[in-house]
Amino acid sequence: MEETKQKPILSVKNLGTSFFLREGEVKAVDDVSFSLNKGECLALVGESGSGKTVTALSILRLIVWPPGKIVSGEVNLDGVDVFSLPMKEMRNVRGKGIAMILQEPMSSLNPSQTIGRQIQEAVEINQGLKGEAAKKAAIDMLGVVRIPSPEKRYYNYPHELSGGMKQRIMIAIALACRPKVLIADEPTCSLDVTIQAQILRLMQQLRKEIETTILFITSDLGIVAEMADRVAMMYAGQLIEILDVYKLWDAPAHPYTKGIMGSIMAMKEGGRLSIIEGDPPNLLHLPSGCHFHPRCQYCQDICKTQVPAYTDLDGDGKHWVRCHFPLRKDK
Amino acid sequence: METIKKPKKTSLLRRFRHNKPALIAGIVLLIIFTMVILAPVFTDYGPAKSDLANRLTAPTMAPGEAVGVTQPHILGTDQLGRDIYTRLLYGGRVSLNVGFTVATIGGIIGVILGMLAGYFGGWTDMIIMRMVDVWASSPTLLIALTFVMILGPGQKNLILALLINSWTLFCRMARSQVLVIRSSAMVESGHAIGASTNRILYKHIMPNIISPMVTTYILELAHFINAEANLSFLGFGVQPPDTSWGLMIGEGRKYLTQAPWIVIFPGLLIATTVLCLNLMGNWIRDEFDPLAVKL
Amino acid sequence: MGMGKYIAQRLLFTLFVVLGISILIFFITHIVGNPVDIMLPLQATDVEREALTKALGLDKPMMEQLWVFLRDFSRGDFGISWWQNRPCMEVIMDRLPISMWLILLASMISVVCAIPLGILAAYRPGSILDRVVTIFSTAGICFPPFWIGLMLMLIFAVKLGWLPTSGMGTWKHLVLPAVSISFRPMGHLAQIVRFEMIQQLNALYAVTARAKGVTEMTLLFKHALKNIMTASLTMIGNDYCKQLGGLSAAVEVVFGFAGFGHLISETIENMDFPLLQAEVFFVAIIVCLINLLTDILYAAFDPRIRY
Repeated sequence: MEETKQKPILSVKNLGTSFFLREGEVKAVDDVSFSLNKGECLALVGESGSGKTVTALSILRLIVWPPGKIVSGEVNLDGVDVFSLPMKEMRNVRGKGIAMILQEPMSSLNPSQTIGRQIQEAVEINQGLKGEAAKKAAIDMLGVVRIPSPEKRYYNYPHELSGGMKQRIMIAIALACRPKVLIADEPTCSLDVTIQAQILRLMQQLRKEIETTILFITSDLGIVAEMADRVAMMYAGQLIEILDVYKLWDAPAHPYTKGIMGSIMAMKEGGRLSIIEGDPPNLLHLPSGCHFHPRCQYCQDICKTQVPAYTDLDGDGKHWVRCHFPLRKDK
Repeated sequence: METIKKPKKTSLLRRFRHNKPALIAGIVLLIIFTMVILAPVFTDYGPAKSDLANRLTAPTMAPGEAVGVTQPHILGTDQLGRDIYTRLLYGGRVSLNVGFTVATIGGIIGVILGMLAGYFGGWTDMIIMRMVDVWASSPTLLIALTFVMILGPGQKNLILALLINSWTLFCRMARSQVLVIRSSAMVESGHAIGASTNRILYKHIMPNIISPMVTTYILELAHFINAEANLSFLGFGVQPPDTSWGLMIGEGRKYLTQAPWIVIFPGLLIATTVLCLNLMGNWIRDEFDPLAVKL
Repeated sequence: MGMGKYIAQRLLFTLFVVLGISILIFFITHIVGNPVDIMLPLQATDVEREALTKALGLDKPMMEQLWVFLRDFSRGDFGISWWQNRPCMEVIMDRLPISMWLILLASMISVVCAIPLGILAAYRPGSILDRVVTIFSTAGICFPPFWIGLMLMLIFAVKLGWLPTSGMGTWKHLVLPAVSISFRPMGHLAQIVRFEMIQQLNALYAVTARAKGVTEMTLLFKHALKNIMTASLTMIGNDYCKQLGGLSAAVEVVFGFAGFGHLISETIENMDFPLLQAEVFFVAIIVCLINLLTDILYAAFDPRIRY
């Protein structure tokens, strides 16, 4: 879908994941496509409930049935078609191929195992080391994420550590897998602002040192500004825009994106908050046509009936929009 | 602006119908309760009507030979020639009566104590909960038996003996519900807009307690039916000429090899009733308790 | 806090509970009913009544009686059984150990069957296997154990003749009673294991583990199993105590098994007060000790609990 000079290391095409509840089908992810080049950081942005986490879980085939199921799509990691792999090989992709940092460090670690063992497990499975060598690698990992006295900390249990430290452990586990691609799902959202800053700084440094490719899921535009090369906007399960990060501030094309950015700019300049009217849609009862149309000030008749196609705005494959009337800079 | 449709709430009955095990359980229970309560309608025999000429006959469809009654002994007769089917119906009255009485009275006491403990906290809470702890750690059956020994056997004393231990579960349940709700934002906002304690108790706490209360009631009912059967089997519960399901098994034990049906049918009936009660109780808990984990 | 302090605290609580129960039993037996009236026939004269009252020490003031009662109990003197004319301690010691073994055997049977079943059911919730396990475990709780005993006796002892119908002595005599007793704990345990396992498999840390590349088997047995042990232990200990506390009585009676449960039944029949008091006391102590044991074992499985 996206043409760039080199072949992307991760490409996602027409991904669709639905949850089949008693009340109906919830299309948590609907026709999502994007790709990642080696070494770049793509921010996946959207309100909560827009489908970001489900997208990440789907890529790793971590969706549990019942009630969730991947209904369509193709994921290609470095030439390998991930969805067609048998489970045994899929497990090799998990970790070594793609590693994931989960959202809530508080409950994402096994309470009855030492954190050292949990990192070591990642090492044993993905680096092939055993015994003492694995233990040493785990302790090294603790050092990499800047945890003091790593040899002692190895024996700590999750409940003995603070939120910030637990999140560093999660990063350590992910990095211990030596992944080609790292997916970070709002890794700082449940942390204090000061700790947030520390973690982000750590990730920046690691990115420089190890040159990992990162899919960074967040709803915080400040983080986007700091970390991302490109931004993918999600709304109600669909990808509505992908663009370079500087263009996000400069010339977003989708009315929703513009609306979000507009409210921030207005705040900064001391102007009135321009809010986007209305609420995010109930995924069980999505509006027909463009999902955003009830809240869009540029809504026309066609928006109410036809789902807009995903189009290459400038023809160079760098800016894609899902809108019937994408905004141009002069508007 | 497009109007957003209110999601259709599946009605109570429809949800009930969808869950097959609960539905079947409910129907079976209804049948059992009806037949037991309206026993004379369903059988021509009296429960104590002995017919020694026909003792220990196997279940049969042949017409009865007793004077004036031709209903076949479809489940056989016992050691005194009494019709098993009839005794099951009349015995059921006793078994269910004991179960309901104990569950109801114990439930009322337990819930009141639990609500008091939860709502007022402090000393009230501590005293009541210590009592519950001691009670719960004690061998409840033994204590019930102690009562039986002192007061003598019989249905009334059995109910009393079982009552002693009946309230603890209700108390714990009610208290934990009150605690959860009391500290919830719901009550705080109620207070914040000036609602009185009574109003909060009535309008906010009660409705949320009802579902776990009903669940506990049904499950405890099943438990007490089993407990009654246990004690009556041992001879310490209901006494002849009254009969109950447990007592039938106890009396029929001697004739296990000759006439196993005396023992088989009461046991099946106990198990069926308890099973259905459990299924219904589980379904109610899964459906209505918003705080329970849905699997 | 330290393990020692924790144990000491629990022991104190145990003492408190046992004391409470002893006092409770005392009041029940001495206030609610009059032992003398129960022991003597209706036509007994007042003189006889007085004599017996004096002999049993029931003429002394209530507080003094309570004091004597507690003092004796703390010394291990549980009085003489009226019915058997032997020290209660002896009577109980004759019959308690074998029942404890029987119920232990039943517990082991239930653990061996219930844990695998619960895990299998949790592995694929909603599947046919899951439904079967759920129904089976619910049924196990619903059938009266003494009835199960009678049915098993009918099939295996009478019709097939593989096992003896009653009595004690060989290992064969333990089989049917133990199996009958095991159904209920088995049902409870299977349900708990299933529920807890499903929670574990859907927990966030499970997602982390899978994202690392951990296999489902490893997740089940290395990670999740440890985390469900506290709930399982509680259930196992609880059921053991309930059985010892009288639920096994009916089964023992069915099989003519001369154990503690049977003793309880006979005690009631013979209206033997001192023996009943002693029995309640013993059971209370054992229950508290088992609770203490499970509390200590918790700490082994859940690091958050180590004090």
